[in-house]
Amino acid sequence: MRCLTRFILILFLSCETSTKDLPILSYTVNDSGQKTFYNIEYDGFTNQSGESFSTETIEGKIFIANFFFTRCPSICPPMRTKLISIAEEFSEDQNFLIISHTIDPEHDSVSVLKSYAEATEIPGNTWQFIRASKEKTKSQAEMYMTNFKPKEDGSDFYHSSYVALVDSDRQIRGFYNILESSDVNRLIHDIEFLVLKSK
Amino acid sequence: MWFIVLLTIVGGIYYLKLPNRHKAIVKTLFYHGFGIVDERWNIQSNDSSISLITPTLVLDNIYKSMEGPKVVRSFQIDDSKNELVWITSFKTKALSTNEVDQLSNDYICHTNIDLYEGEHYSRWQLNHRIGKQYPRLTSMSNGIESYAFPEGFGFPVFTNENLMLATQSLNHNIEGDPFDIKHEIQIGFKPHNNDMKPLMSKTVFVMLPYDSENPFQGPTDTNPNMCLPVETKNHSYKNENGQALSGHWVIFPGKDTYRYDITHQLQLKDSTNMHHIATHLHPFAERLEFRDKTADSTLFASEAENYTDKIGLKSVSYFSSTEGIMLYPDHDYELVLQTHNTTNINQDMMASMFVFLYDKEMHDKLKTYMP
Repeated sequence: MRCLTRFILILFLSCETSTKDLPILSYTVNDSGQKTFYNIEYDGFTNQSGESFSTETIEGKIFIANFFFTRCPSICPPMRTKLISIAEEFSEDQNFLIISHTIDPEHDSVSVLKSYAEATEIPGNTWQFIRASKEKTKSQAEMYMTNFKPKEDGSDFYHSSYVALVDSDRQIRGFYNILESSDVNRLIHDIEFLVLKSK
Repeated sequence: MWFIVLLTIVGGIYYLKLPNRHKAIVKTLFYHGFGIVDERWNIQSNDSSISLITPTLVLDNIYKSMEGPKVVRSFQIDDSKNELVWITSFKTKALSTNEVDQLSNDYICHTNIDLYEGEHYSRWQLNHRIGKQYPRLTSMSNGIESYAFPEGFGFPVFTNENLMLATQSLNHNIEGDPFDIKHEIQIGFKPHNNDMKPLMSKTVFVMLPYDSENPFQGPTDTNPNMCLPVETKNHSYKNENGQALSGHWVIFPGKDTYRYDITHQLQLKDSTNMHHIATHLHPFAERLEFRDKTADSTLFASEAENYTDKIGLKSVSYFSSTEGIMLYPDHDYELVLQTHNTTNINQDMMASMFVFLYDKEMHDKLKTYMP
């Protein structure tokens, strides 16, 4: 049934000539007032299997990225549920990937990430849980136009419920509040669009 | 079969125990999910404004402030362009389901517009602002349903930036058969020009202490400033001493005055001008003052006019000035709220001001911006 739905959606998208392109959002306005575009890069991250995760890992992939931590008591559990359904939706696309960066690397060791990943029942080649030093993770968050910091009472981190969609050229093409169903629908549509475009 | 019957009974009991506002959420999901009422958004934009008409909201009950059916969605002013524009005005109104006839604004509790602060500030390399405060751009509410920034001022956004809209309905007065409404939200904007000055939004609001062990008992003789929170899950906070505070509390019949120091909410680093204030109050509020405690002076008093023949706010005044009022980082500020509950039962209360300050840091960025 899901395959049929996707086939119809792809058919619809391929017939719909008015489908507009997605904007490139990975840029900043520099001190001279000019837009400076950049591409997402990785260095020094490790995934839930203990393997190195680098720019090479994402080469040619269409992916969504978020920031989380395994002990998160607030927004991560509902975000995880939504991401599982998206991972299932695109499980047959070899070029699609979800990247979840832990913001609590002190606690979220490779083995903790492995257990957390296994509980999602999503294959590792579709969903990578990655860790690096706090400093590297902070710079990575900046690349994804977000940040995180511990809350005053230490019970939680401030972090965003938005995910970023990145194309196969490693450019950000959209931000989506994964906790809002209309945004989840928009995200699925935009992933479909990029997948179709890359074929 | 028995499992379904059991599930229905347990689900039914659970639903009946929910507070009014949670029942409204469940019913709205049900109505929209099953297509019983129109669940679509009608969004239209042109070169100077965007209009968002909500799905249908069913009013089948008395819904006090913060209780009514609500809808939330993100939107962009124009996702096909990446142009800088200046948001200059806001308007919300209640409509009939034909999306033409205007209804009473008695059916508007509030309409909130939020930013995705990561996207917004990162573009301008102002990452230090992300997560500093709740990313609310502004709010319109019962009694203050439209306003415009003073001439020459605005809030700069890119047309494809994510904004978040949440709008909630209200029905203090009409019981009987259910009826349907929609909300229309209009946001006015102007193309970028170098003469515009940017504003930044700060939310300041009254919070009152309560006893977290016995939240619904008090105030006491020894602690007359204590409040009864309406709920402890929402609008509840803790200060640096671990004291529980509520931003949504119960007022008793009669008159009362509440004060709250907002210096920490303003987070002023430098002196700056305040150019606009939009006030959010609940019925039975009469006046909310923004005071400079250090100078012992009232900088602005927002006057609320209540209806006399029904529950609701007829109007709430707002502040708007090109000249502005200077605020200083070494001064202390407070909100002073006066209420008059003219009924013989308890009512609920909130008091916030959405304060717009001249944003010099952003202005410096914008001065060099090359479209």
